[in-house]
Amino acid sequence: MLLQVDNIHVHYGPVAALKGVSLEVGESDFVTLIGSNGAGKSTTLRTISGLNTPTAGEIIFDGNRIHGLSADRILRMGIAHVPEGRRVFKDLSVTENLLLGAFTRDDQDGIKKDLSQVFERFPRLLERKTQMAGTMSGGEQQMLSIGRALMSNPRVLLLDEPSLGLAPNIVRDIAQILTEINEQGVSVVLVEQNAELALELARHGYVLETGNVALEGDAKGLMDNEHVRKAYLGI
Amino acid sequence: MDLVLQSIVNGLIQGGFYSLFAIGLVLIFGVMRVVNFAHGELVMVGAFTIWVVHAQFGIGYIPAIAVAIVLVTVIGLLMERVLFRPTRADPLAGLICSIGVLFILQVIATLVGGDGPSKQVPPPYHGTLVLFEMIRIPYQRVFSLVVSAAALGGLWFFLTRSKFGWALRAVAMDREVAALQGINTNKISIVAISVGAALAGLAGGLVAPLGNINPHMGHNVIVTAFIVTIVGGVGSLSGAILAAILYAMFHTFVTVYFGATIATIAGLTLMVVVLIVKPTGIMGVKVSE
Repeated sequence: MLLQVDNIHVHYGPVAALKGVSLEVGESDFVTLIGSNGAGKSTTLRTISGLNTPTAGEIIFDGNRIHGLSADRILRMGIAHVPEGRRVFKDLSVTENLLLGAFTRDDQDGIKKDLSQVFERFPRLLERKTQMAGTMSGGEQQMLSIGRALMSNPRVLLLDEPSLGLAPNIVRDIAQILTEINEQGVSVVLVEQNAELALELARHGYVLETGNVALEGDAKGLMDNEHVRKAYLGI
Repeated sequence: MDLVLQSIVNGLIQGGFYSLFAIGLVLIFGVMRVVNFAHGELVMVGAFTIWVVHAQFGIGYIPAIAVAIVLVTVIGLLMERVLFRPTRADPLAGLICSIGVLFILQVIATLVGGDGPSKQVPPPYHGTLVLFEMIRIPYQRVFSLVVSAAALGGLWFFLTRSKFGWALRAVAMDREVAALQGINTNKISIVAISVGAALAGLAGGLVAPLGNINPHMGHNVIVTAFIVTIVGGVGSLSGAILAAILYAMFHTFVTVYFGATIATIAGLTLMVVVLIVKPTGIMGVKVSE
């Protein structure tokens, strides 16, 4: 297993945000975490990428324990995180944002190649490469945030609510791109409130409720699950 | 007319000097989210070092500046490691620690220099540059302007052209997301405080032969730095430089026509007006949480 989260607990002060979450992500896997606000989806991603530290439990990536390491070291190991709310560097240009995504790399040729690949994948970013990131639309900023994460050449890509607040056609574009990225061998962990979209894209799904994994299974199976249909798909 | 031109030149020189310490304050705040109240004392330590090393021990002025820069940088690094890093979760704690450092440095300076009258360092550069037969600039101030401009130019180059400079700006914009790009934010904090403290040490070295050196001289420095940072926009480096020059012009002109005390009062009034009318300053960026 490429990434294994084993029974992690996370506290914000005295408040328990995660109460024993376990999940597994294989090579070239596509996993989604769904659940309502406050269920612990974002906290799970933040703990994997090192922004939060678990109070108990283990996270193993490629055979190494990574919980407790700082976020910059975890990125170097091959886990990139596209944070909630896109959070591009607003006062830097599109190109500068992308090059910062490759901060840890020294292979100039590889960086150049990946930069042109990101521009190929997101032609809108190429059109706006010298523009300040803060002046772009929400959809463009989301593309930039994903592009920036890809520039580190990750093995696992964590995405937190990439569809939030975007027009349906842009959401479609981004879904298409996530599928392509996954097909090229990058494992994707997608956190989404849009459960229908998430289960459609993913192979495996986890349903988080109040800091626990309430349900897990094959994405198609979850889509047919009575509880999931009622609570998250509104059917 | 002569007086106006002369005041513009004086304001420009003063502005370069203000920029040196104001930009350090902005860098440290931007990257570490700590308001370094001891920043004026870092300038004071720089000036005191010139008095001790150059005026007392007779070592050359330029080597003395180098000693001042190194000493103040070391103090800055100690502050980062011992005070600011452990208290990062609570910005108020960092601020209070920096006030503690302010008093400690004042007391040390008093112990070193005694609490007699202010010290003077005789200017190492003599003579006056006369431009167009009407603007007179002592060579000491020419030196100050050239060195300030070179230091600011170097900083600008570092921030906009080097990978580390980008990383520093990224941390100032969003510390968490910078870490997600693989940037070691502790390392960047060290760079930020080193640069900020080194510039404060340099500012102290430049001001030493031009004014009175005493343990409390940091007070004026920090008041000026606050005015400049707030007028320029908290967190904006270019805003800080622009505001430093504008404020120095303003201060020089009010001093020439109304006196120094009025100038300081007017400066503080300007700061309050900016806070009320345009709290983000002239080039301000919103501080994100």
